[in-house]
Amino acid sequence: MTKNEKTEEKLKEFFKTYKTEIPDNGFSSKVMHQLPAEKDHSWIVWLIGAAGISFLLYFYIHTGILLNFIENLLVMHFDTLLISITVFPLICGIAILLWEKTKKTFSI
Amino acid sequence: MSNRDDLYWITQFTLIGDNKAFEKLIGKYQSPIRRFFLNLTMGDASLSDDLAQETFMKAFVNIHSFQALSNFSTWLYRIAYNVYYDSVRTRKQFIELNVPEVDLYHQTNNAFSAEKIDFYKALQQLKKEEQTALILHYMEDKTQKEIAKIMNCPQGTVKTYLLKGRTKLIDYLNNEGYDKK
Repeated sequence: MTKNEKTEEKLKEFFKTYKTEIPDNGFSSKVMHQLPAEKDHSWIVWLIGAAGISFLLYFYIHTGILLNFIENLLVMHFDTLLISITVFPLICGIAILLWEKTKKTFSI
Repeated sequence: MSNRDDLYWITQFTLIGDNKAFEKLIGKYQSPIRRFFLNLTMGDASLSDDLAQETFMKAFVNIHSFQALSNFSTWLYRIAYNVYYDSVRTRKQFIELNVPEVDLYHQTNNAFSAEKIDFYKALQQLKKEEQTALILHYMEDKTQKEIAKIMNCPQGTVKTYLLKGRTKLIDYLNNEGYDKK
């Protein structure tokens, strides 16, 4: 056994001697009672989303864009339709993957 | 219990709002987190419990930002480390006391650590960063990579802390005749 290994063993032994498990003794329930009440603000997201969709629908119907879009869909070739449907999620997916790869920061 | 259990409880808590799942996480980690603080505060059980409580509260509030890039345990220790150093900074601003004297008072006045005086005396030979690195490595079985994440510093710095701390501690133990005990 080298000197370094001996030192390592000695320190491991030293810390092991003083390693103790601390009994809960009501600590968990005390913490649970003191936790702040969570306020649910998700309704704001839903409200803004619903308002946005309603506005867009009204705008598209009023200007005739929606009708025009449906007419175009009906006369479109199947392969063109398929490409136009899949290309956007594909580009988004690749962008997210690249973004995730570059993001290596450790956040809490 | 593995990291998979942690992820299951975190999912239960964040998606369904099941507080029992969070209580299970506290139950699992209360002992290591309180022990970590107990060692850093040189056996001040009351302060350790306060810091541990603050740690779990911060975890509760910020759990939505946990991205599972590391173990939940590492994430929790990172919060604990920040809580401890915030408290050190705050105490430094308000208290100008002889720290070893205060520590000795606490060591001899709580049931948790009365028999641990030798251990705390040995730890007091080290700088705070060295103490933290050594406690995390030898007491809490964390790897250098995990310690680097917890202490938010490069792995090389952790290596230096461990090396310096190890040398100081082994010198102290040799001088105190730890082998013969």
